[in-house]
Amino acid sequence: MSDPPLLDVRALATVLRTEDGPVPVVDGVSLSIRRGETLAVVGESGCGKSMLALSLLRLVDPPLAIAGGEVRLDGDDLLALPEARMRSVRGRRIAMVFQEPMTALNPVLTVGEQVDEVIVRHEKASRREARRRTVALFEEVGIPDPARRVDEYPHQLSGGLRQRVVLAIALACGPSLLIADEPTTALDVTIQAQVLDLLRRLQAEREMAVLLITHDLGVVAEVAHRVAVMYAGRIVEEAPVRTLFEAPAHPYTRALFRSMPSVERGRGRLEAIRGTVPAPADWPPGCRFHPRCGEARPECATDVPPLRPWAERAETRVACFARDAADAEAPR
Amino acid sequence: MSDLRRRVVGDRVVAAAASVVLLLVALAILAPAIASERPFLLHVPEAAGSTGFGALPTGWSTPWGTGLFDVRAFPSIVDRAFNGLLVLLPAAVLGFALARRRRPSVAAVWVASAVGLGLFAAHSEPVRRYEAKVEQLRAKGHEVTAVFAPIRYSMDAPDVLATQQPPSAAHLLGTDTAGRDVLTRLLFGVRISLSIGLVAVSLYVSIGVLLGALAGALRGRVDRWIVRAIEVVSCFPTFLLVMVLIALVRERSIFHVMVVLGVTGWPAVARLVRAEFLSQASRDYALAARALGLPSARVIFRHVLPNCLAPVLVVATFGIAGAILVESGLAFLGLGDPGVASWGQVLREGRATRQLHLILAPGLLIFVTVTMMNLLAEGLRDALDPKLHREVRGT
Repeated sequence: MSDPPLLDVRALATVLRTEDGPVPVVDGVSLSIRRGETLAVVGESGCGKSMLALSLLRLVDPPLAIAGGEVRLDGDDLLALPEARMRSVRGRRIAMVFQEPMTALNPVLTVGEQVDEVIVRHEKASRREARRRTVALFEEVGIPDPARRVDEYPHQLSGGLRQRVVLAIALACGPSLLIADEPTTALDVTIQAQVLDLLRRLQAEREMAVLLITHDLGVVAEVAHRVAVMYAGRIVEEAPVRTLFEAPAHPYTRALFRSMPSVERGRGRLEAIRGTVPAPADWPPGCRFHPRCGEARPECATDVPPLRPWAERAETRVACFARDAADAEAPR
Repeated sequence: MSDLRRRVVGDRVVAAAASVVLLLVALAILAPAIASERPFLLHVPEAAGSTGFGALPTGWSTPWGTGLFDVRAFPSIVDRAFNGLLVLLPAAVLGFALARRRRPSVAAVWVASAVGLGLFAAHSEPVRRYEAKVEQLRAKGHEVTAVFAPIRYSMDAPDVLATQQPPSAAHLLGTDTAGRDVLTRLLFGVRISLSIGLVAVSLYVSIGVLLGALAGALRGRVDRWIVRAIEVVSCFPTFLLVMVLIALVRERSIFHVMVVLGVTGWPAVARLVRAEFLSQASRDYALAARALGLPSARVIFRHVLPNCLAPVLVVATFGIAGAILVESGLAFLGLGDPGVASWGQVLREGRATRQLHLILAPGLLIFVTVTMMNLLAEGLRDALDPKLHREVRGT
């Protein structure tokens, strides 16, 4: 931990402003990513992970608003930058890949135009130069016959090719951080594997940091270095990927793993997490998971457990009173 | 039900409607080539020449070509504009064909402008009623060469000796109270109707798209004010509003009608574009464009707006039909431009003189045009609506 992280997020909070007062959507999230590292943020739909990604880019529109915290990219406080300078961060230093390649591309522009545009904008390149680089990018992300493909419209491409175009757009200006929001969810499984391979290769070649947002633990195991588990707007556990899969600490993480089919456990009935994910307006006080938690303690309903290193695995940080209590009882 | 609809109003009906509309456009452009009192080619021997005002010029001349841009022959700018198309389109095609190898578009522009300028600068004789004069000379035994268009009348030359005639071989649809050939007037009326539709609709589509995009993109206070304005204007019954506004104009011309239609028609377009904008702006590609650091103006106009225009195309096509209908209604009520040969004016003549053919012919034309435009618009709407496709295929 000697060199400063590329991205350092502290206590980031995004709220939905309603007539009944602000409702938290992202609630005091802190995380950091080093150069060339992949951090996966895992959670169910509605836990605020996509909102976290948009907040990093300051792309939240009213009635949503960033209520506090700090986002530092290479030392620059992004939340304090004027909008014009923030625009030159988006797409150049931080790029984003969206979930649906169907909808993330503009249907009325050719895919080439959409890549050219970013290069022209950020690098002040000429149209011809931009087109040359676009073709090279298409080649790099593995689009066959790139010189012809650049003039096609999104609907003429398959889902896998479209996602490659989306990647090419994101990579166009050589960002140091790539935010990928469910990059493979909309693809079928074989294409998914290809895109993940591509992502891993590009990351290694370009020494780019990746913030991968997903609900798919399989994808996490495949590409991530570290994992942050998010539940109801907060990070409940953060650990290196091996540690998390070997020894999940938070009751929520454990429940997630139990609800996944596995080869070792055989054909038994899968366990569902009881209850449902509450909507942001109904998030309970204290630990947000306590109403659904089998290990809940009295203080869980009133106090918010802080993220603390876990005694059993020093590299894991977990926000759970039950773990803290177990740590205190355990013989040192 | 929808299957039935697909069979009845299939692509063939839409294709037929589109061809009728195209035919109307062709008629509008070709009108003077079909009906003109000025011969394409005229030769009057020196011996037959007289020097009086309005006499035929002696020697070879081309009265038709030189008259195309003559204010005396075509007082309305609408006609001269269509004549411009009539000259420029073939000239452009010719230029394109001549220089297919070397920069054809440049050659096309050169040939077109040369021909256009030549005709524009051409000197034309202040002659009317060519046919009668040619006949006179021939009766005197002179050898006169004259090549006329199929119909030898102009749309506005009165003939006091032949007023209110019923349909005959000379006048297929008869003549009106001033003795003008009704068929010719209806033919030139295509130009008026189409240009009313096009100009009025372009005007209100521009206003509507601009205001709708502003409201949808800026939201907040701008949005609230624009929506209020839409509500206020759409409170008035459109035809009444148009009538009141047009009644305020002292010397009405066809352009006043266009402008009044243009400034009253925009609310529907603005509402549509605004709604479309709100839905499109929340799509991923709009967010993605912002996430790439593109400035908001670029996101709005290059990314979001083009995606909002498909339904506007449908509304505009319906709007052309509507505008033609409103203009005919205004002309019929005496609120049109009496100086132009619009279908409504002919219809008004027919009602005033109680002549059946003067009522039926323009009425039928208006009906056919409006129906075909609406069919075309419906076809466009169905073609642009993916939901409908699924529904039709599904059931």
